[in-house]
Amino acid sequence: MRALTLDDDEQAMRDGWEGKAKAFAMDLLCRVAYAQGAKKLLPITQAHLVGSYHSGHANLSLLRALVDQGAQVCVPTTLNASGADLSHPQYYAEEDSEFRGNCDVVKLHQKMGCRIELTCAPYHLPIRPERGDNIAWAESNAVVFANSVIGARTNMSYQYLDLCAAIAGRIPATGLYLDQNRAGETLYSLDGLPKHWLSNDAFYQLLGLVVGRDCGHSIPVLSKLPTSITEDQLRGFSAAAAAAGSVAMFHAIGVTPEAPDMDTALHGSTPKRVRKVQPNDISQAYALLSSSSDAPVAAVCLGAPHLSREEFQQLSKLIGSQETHPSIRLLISTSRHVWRELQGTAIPAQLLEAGAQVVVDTCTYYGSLVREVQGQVLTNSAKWAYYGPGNLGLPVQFASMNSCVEAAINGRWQRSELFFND
Amino acid sequence: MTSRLQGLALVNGQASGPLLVMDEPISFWGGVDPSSGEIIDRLHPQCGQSIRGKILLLPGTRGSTAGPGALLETLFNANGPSGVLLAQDDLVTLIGSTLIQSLQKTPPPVVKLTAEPPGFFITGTHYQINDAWIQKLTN
Repeated sequence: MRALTLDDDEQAMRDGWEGKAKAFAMDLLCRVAYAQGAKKLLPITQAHLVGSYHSGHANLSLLRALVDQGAQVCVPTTLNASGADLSHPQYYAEEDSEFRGNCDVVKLHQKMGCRIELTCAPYHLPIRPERGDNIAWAESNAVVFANSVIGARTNMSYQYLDLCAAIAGRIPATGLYLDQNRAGETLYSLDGLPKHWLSNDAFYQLLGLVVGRDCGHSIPVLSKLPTSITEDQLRGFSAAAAAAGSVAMFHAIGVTPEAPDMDTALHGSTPKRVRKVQPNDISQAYALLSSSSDAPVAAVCLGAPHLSREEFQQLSKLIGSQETHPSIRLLISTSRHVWRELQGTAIPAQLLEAGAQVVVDTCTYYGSLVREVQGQVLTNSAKWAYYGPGNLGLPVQFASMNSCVEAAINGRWQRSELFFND
Repeated sequence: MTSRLQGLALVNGQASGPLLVMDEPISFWGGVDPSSGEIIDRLHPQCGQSIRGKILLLPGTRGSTAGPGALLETLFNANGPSGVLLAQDDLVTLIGSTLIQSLQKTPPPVVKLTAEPPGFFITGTHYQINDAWIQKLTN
């Protein structure tokens, strides 16, 4: 019943004919395949690894051993956000052990042939996968986005499994790699919500939170989203749904590629469950991402997942020629790729003059960059607001990008009954 | 009542120790302190207890996909469980436990349970794992 069949190439790798590192990778892949009852392995076209941060001595030893065995990735492989902004050493003390540890981890991956794009938004990179590609991605928001919005195929991979997949170029054929496991299951109706909410960025993140907490391991289906929905709104939904639950894929009827209509999204079946989303669900999600603290706002953090070009343009319009208030730090996280792309525009100079600090390669909610903040953090990211309080021990308040920018400039934030004020 | 049970061995090996039944899935990344083995997830029912040297009965893991790295550090520091019984499929435990072998450490055996007879598993009671076999050691 648990018979895994390997082809000749795979068997040769497993038997060590292509070196110790490939045999090591195949051993882990076969163990995972056995545990999951997979019958075969599938070739992958790319990988995105989460192990790009410093977690300790054991991780460094394991990576060094692999490098010493000559391990090389055999498909294009990118790395997730690291534990520090490696592009800006000036943000850290000279002997900062966390910074150095993160550098070491990233260098070891580089020796294995990984591309040093340290981002949680690999779909912004030029090697974006295409519909139907089998890939091995392990960052949760990117997994949801790849399966749902791009129509590529990946399970939620894990640290080391993703690396072994990249070294062997294979992944066990289970879960979302298989057609029959990609059918929509839980139908969410949005009929009961005010129409104007459906054009708001913050709304889609709150909807993601509601759906992520409600749908368990099933594949959610969203009906009646406007076809004008933006890619940033879809990834906002993806990030929040993945942070709050176990979502790895969703369908949006008439919007996502495997859901041109309800019948196709459900693979000709009927939904296992139907749930009408009420305005109150969205308010409750907003409350969950609100702090009860009266402390003044001390920092505004934008960009989790990493800010897109389009979001930078939106931000640029909102800031105009204004400057941030002296009592507030405005931190903007993006990838070095998107930041590089913006260098030909007026945006970098504008943000610097406004007093903003741009952070690349990492995420501000687990780095040391925000740890010394005294007061509240305001963020336009549901994911940041979900993880930040636990990671950093700070009160965090979710707000729209408009409200975030207003607060960064005026130095204060006015609690609003609504989840957005525009 | 039977004192032996057979599961599916995912990582072979022998181990014994007191059982700790986890009432909810845990995140090894951020939920367990690798320098002590203590459960530090404030929302977890077993928060404050240690997994060190225990046979863990685990209903899966949750949270970050970087869980295997955190479990690897915990095992490397000798603060991990002596064995793991999986009530649900769980790749984090499988990956972390498998890879600790490449750092010249003995892995905790990992057994996937195919049955859970009522009353067989009791926190604090000693059990022994021998590859796919689980034996209760009281009396």
